[in-house]
Amino acid sequence: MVVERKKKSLISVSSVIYLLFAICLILGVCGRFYPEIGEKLRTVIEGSAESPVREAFGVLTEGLGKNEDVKDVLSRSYEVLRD
Amino acid sequence: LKRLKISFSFLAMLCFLTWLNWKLCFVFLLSVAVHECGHLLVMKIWRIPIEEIAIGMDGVKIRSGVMGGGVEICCALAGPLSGLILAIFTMRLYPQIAVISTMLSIVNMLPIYPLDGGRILQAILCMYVNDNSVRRIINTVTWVVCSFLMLLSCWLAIVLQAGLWPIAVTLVLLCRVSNRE
Repeated sequence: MVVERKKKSLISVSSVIYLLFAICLILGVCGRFYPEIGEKLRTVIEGSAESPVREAFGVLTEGLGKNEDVKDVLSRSYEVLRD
Repeated sequence: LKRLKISFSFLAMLCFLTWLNWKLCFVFLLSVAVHECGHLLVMKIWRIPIEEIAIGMDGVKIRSGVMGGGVEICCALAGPLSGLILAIFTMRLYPQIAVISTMLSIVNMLPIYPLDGGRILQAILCMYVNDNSVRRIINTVTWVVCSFLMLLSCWLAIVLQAGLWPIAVTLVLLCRVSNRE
């Protein structure tokens, strides 16, 4: 019973891993040979350029790079996320 | 170290991440390497034999000899701590490394079992309650945190238009949870 359950769990885990593997492979091939489709896929995965998450990441890295106060930079990125 | 295993799924993931954003991929790999070096350093100090290092799509797994509760906690803490030290040193010069390394440390400190936070929680619980209760508590906490993470990643993807990557990260974490030994 336990062995059977372990086998089933192993099969489900390996199928998820191989599904992800296949997606990676397909996306990789699309990106290499069909750049237009690749660009669209990239936007779907990375999110839009105006996404608050990307903006907040930008504010955070830019602020830290400019030697600004960490607290200020963090609160500004939080504001971007909240808006 | 007796065995180093690198799976094909990891190589596929690496190709995909490089295509997506090679700079961020490099920064992420660097953060992961420093994180794992933290674990390995503590194991070396405590002279714990390392049997296998497996690098896969769901992260790096270090299989080692038996550890006591205290050593397990130190070893689990060493990874996120080394990530935070890297973040402090690179904060002004390479802020991207600092942010990604901090995020990696935070994710690893979540109380999900095969992750560092889950290992610390398990080691602490083992000191106070019996094995069955430990397993039950760990499973419940893992289930609650994973459900919350999935909801959070869906919210990030749909409401904040962050793309599909938060969902992909959560799926990788779920893979890791279901693949635990």
